[in-house]
Amino acid sequence: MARILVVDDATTVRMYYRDVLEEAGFAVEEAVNGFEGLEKAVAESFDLILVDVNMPKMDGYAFLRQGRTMSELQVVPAVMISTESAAQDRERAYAAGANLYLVKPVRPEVLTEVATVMAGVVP
Amino acid sequence: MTNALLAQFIPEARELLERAGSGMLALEKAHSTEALDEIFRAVHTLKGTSGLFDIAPLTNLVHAAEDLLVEVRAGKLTLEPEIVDGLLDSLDLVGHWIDVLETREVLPDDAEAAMSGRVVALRGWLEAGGPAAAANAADSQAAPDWLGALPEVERQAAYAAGAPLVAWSYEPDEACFFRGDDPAHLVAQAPGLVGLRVLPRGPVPPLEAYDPVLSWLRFEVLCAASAEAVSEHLRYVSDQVQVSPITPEDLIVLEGPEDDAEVFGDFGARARLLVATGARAELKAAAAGLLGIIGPATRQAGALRWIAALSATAAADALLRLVSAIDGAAPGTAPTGPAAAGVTTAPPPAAVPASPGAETPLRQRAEAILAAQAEMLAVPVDAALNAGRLESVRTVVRRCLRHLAPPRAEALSAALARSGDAAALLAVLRDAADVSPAAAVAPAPKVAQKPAVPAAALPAGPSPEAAESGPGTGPARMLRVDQAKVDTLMNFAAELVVAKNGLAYLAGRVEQVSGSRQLGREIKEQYAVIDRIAQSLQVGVMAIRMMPVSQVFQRFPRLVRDTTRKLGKEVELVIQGEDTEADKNVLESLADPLIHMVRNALDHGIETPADRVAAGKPARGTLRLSARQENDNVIIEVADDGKGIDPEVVRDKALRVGLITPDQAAQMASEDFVNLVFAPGFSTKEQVSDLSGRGVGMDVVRSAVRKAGGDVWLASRLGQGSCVTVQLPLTMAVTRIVTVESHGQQYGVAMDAVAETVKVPQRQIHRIKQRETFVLRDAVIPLVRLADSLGLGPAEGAPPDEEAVMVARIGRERVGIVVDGFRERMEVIVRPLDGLLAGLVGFSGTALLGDGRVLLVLNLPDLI
Repeated sequence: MARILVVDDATTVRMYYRDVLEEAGFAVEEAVNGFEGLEKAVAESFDLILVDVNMPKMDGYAFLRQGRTMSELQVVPAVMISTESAAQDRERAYAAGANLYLVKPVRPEVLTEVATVMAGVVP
Repeated sequence: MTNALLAQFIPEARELLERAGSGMLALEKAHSTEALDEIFRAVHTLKGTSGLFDIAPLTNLVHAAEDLLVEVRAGKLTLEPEIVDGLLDSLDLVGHWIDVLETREVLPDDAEAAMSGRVVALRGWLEAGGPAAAANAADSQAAPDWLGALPEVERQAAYAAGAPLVAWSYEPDEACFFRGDDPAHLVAQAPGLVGLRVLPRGPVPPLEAYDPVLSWLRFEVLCAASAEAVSEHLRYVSDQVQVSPITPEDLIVLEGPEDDAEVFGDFGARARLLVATGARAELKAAAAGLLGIIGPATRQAGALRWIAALSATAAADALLRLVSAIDGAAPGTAPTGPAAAGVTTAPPPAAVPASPGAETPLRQRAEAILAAQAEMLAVPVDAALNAGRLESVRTVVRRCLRHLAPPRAEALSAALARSGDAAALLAVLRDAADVSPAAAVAPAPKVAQKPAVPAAALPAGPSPEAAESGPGTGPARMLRVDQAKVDTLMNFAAELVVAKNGLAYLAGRVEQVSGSRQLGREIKEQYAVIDRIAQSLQVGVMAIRMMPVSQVFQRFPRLVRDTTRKLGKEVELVIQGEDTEADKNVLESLADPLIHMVRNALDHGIETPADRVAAGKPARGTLRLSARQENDNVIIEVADDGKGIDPEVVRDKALRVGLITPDQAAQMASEDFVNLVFAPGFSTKEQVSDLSGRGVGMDVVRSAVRKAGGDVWLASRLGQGSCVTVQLPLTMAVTRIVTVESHGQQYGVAMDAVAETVKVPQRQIHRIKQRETFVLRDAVIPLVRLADSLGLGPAEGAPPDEEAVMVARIGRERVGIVVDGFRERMEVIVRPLDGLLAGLVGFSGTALLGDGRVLLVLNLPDLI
């Protein structure tokens, strides 16, 4: 089963991702900030990471930048999910190492399709 | 899914609001970047999460608040008290909406209107901060729905003019001509006029009913000017206009039938690349080329015209949204949700039949993700991240390949293997986008159609072990439980505690009836075991309902702030012991009395800064709210360092209104006088103030507290301040009582109220004036006969040599209560009196005993 790490400080948002992704057959692990996300990502391996931008302790940019310098994490595709839709926000995400930039709220079918493609699930 | 998610959202939203609110109060006291960050994050998270639900007004309002905070954080705006008021007011409204959501699952009907008023106010402060800010705020408001009816050329001109933009509609009053109004002139003179439509305001009446001198006009106007300028221009007809600030994005309204021809081919993928690489001239040419071959009235044609018109000037994301409006595929490069500001499109036809060999949603998704990888690689990156990023892109591309058409996947795969560095990889991806016949994107059937994900057949990535990843070192796991369930459990636990008393009674009966002491003892042993378990159970269930006092205290910083601002006073609120825990019901019964006491202290207790300085005190008063646990009680104190209460004034007033007689007054100590403020109908302040007056006095506080089984009293020093002390039981569920006898009747008295029991010889009872007293150690204690209080009449027979006296605590005082004797102690559930007996003063309720008898439980403060 493909494993997805969800990093977001909002409980409701994590629950939403979990509902949608588990329904689609993924295993979901949660972290409430970038710091906890790194800890979990190093301890266990994941096939895809979904990360929020604004979080206490360590934000999504720092999480991604840190992750891209670590051998365990650099191969893992990462999707940054933000509330901002401006071009410069997307560029910041790409510069930090995100492979895809989505804007909240992400519809369930989009989330499922993105996860299916990027977590490496064979159709 | 929505309901469970909403149930999760509601408490989280409340917590975020609470965090933002208290952060705001902290910030007002002293500027702190951390507090500001905290507020911003709370509001930001709330905005993001609310987008999951269909509650646009809430999202928009929070968005406006967030925009304001962005400016504050950037140092472009200072948090004036008025702005804090505005923000708090908006957050309050959101809090109210959350309450409504909890019960009705939808926002109230007036939410939209309430939202726009608040947003205009918040935006008003933003505009003072600069035009960029104004544009930001504007996008949080809904654009009027008639915008799309304005000619496209005019909208494009307005777009080119850029923010600030205002759309307004004007329906002149019927009789406007009689007042000398000239609507057409007014509209023509509007600042920055760029678009205009004039139409009848409704169906024109039949000729015989038509009055040519009344106005039937409606104007729909678009101005490239600030909302302030427009509102100023329209100030004399403000009741007839509706002004909505809009963003340039709002102008892009695409309407018309869907063109389902396949001529768009790979335009989407190509256009995205052209945007990403900044090739704007080519983009314009591509759009113009397509425009030549499709019907001009279609939705896509509209989008293409916008692309052509904006290609030189617009931001990349705006263009990308337009591209998405053409091919319907938005992933990775455009907002995907309804809440994202942007292109308003007519909903695509529900199910466009897939053309032969058409793309599955997954294939489209994979193409889009590939395009995003190209876009990503075009963004410069730190050298340190380069290797990692390249690796991740390779992973993603490899995974995307599985979803592409086989020939294309093979070609790409081969190219991928040859590409060494980022530049080479980018080149491969660009070529791929250029020659992607398979990427032909028909309008995507967005609806439903879940991709089949065979959960079993997933040869996923590097995943050595799965499943067994328990909660591990995560935070304490919380459980949200319906309170009713806990209450039911609590009731059963309490019933059990009482029911077990029946065993003790049974043991006694066994000894009496069968004379078997052995059996009686065994029952008693068993009783002890059940007793222990029942106690543990009760303590455990009670612990679930225990909540920190902070739940009640947390509203006070805000209340104190608002009240003192209104009164023009300066008060420092000090909160102590907010971790003290008490039963939820007890805390709830405390909430309203406490608000009243705090308002009283602010209103009547603490003086104005001028008065305080004149009295030699610091200008800033102090209000202390504290909580602590004493035995089975919670003690809450509300203390102020204000002017205190003058016992003389209270005494005179009490005499005047007949609360006490002169005789009684003579017997009372000065501390007793101040406690007369709790008497019904008493109020020391003659004039009713807006805040704590309204005829509700401290008597209401006292009756509320006593109803919850507690008591309240007041201590005051003239000129130095007052302190109101509330004592409440930790829990209201089970009461420990002692039974007393009077005239052959048994009554229960809560153990909390009993300080001690003593035997007092007759000769030690003295009469002082009308009252009997006795001396306990070195204190004179008044005596009351329970039989008298209950109206049972004088005792028969000679008085005993010694009286059984129960020394009870009533507030701060001790009173000796003469009874005929004491019986057993036990735990009971006190049920309030209801029906005809409900109004009976002096009893807190009834309790069912183990042997089936019903016991009346006395409420001593009321009775004596």
